[in-house]
Amino acid sequence: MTPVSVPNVPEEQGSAPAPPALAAGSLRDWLGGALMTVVAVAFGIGSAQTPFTSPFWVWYTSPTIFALGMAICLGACGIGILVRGWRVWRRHRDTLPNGWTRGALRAWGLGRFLRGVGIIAVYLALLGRVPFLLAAALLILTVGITFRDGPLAPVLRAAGISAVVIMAILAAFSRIFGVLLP
Amino acid sequence: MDLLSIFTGLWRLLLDPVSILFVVIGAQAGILFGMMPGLTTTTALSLLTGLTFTLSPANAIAVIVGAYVGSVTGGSRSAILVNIPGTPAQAAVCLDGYPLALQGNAARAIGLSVTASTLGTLFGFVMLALFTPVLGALALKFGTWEFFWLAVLGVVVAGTLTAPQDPVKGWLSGFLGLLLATVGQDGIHAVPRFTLNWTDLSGGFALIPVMIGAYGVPEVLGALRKQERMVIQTKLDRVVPRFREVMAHRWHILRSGVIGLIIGIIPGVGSDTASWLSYFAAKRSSKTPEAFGHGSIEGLIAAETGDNACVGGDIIPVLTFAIPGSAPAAVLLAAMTIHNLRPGPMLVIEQPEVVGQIIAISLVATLAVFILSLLWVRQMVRVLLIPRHVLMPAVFVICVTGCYALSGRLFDVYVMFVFGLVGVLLQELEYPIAPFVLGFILGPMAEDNLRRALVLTAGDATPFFTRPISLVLVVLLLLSVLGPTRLGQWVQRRLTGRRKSA
Repeated sequence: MTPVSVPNVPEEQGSAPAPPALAAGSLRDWLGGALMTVVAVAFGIGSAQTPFTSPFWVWYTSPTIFALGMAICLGACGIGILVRGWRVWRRHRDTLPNGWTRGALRAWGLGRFLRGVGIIAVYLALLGRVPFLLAAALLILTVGITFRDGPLAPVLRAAGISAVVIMAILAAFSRIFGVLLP
Repeated sequence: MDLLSIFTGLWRLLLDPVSILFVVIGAQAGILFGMMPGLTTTTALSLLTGLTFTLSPANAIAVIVGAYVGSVTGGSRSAILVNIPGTPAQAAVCLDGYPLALQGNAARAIGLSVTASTLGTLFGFVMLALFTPVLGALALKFGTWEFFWLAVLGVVVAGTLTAPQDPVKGWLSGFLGLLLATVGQDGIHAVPRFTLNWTDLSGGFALIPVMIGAYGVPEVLGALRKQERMVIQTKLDRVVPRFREVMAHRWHILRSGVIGLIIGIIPGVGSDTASWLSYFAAKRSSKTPEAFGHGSIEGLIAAETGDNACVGGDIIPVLTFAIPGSAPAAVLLAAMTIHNLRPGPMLVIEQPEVVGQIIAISLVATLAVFILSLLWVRQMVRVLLIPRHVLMPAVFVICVTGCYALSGRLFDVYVMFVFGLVGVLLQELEYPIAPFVLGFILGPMAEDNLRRALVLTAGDATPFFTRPISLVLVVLLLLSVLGPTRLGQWVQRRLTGRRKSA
């Protein structure tokens, strides 16, 4: 037997050279650190809005004392990563070619990703408004057709079979085991 | 709990064909999930937890444990045949499994990997049967202070081990999980926290939607994002391995089994670490290390045994301390809680027959997976031919059903999707998911025990550092935090230098 595997081929690849790893890594670091810090600050402010002493509790049984502690830990580590990433980024950002962000995002497959998120968001919005099994079949067919990498007919056949199989399985689960369907 | 409980559980199970049928269904579903690249054991278990919600506790656990064993074993198919691991744990299997397939030995590789998996799983479960009573007795000595440290230690160790290059990112991921676990009413005063006056959020985020979201949705979106084509020929010859060939590797199997078991017991670290460590240990001790990576049977067997022995190790802390050894074990913990089986020290004392039954289910599941894995090889590999962009939306539909089935709220489905996007973001920013999920699971345990302990001592935190077991846990925590730092590495270098000079 001769198994052949074609590894991942990201869509729209090769439109821009890959950015130097150090600069890209530091960008990830400071972006991630900033996000974590924002979350920590939000939860810290939320924690502080609940009084730490009241007729019902003292400071150490306060409902938000643990959350405040965790927000401080998250914020401290987040700021650490943010500062570290920012320092390296400042030193190395000039090594990146102009317009690399767009190229990197395209190489990552942002277009396909957004299309996927969009289709799923529409599917979620349809839940509860149209019969679940119909929505499931529509999702499978739409994704199959949108992301196909060959002629339409075989994809339609595969997606159709998949939709019917899933509908049958879910209907059986619902009837036999009483599984709730949206 | 003693061996009698296990035999009683086994006997009861063997007399109940319906439970055995559920074990077999779970095992088959697990194999199929495991062999599909991108679908992890955690996703499989999370989905099945939702779908088996209406079953009796024994049957639901039978399906979930069957799927657990099946998916860990099933992942080697795609690793061997198309060089893409079915689950992350099988990445090490690709190194030698795929070259073996290229040499025309695919059937032999599959047969040996299934056998090694079965032996590893059996080793793990035998140790589970032996260690659970011992650890259960030890767990009774743990007070609220120790349980707080145990939860924190679990998250920190998971962070350190899943992000070895940058442990701070692992800890950050864990802290985020711990923080998000506080959303909803608090456990003591029922005061709503961070709910934005949203009624749906008053109960917090449910575990299963969070887990399916964090693990399943990024896989679905990732498969849509990348264009992937797999071409595979399903022609296979003799799959069942020869007894003599298996016995020739008994020491690799035993060593990898021990490594897998120990890794499994450590909270937050899963089969993938066990698999790699077993692989490297086998390479180091091999007479032909140069063959590793070029179709070494030793490497294949070591990796497979290690990742499967981990399953038993993962379940031990779930049953004794209610602390999951890995993400799939966390789903098992959640499933047990949903079905009113309260894992922890008291389970071993009060309901030893439940523990016995779980061990019995595990043993039957191992046997079922072994038979099914060798029986349907040719038919099952055809599943790999289904295009990903057709398979993944179907998986997403099952994810939605799994989330909705638990409480009948569309809100949980939306939570799943939002946490899925959070999972994608964490992955792209190179934050490990496992500590995040573990933090989310252990958050309530850490918070409740911290506040309860402080109530018991009227705000005095001294017992956290003076009680003997607490002190040991604090020292372990400090070692875990300081180990990867420059100070820790300097101490390690000094110790290694001293040992060399001695």
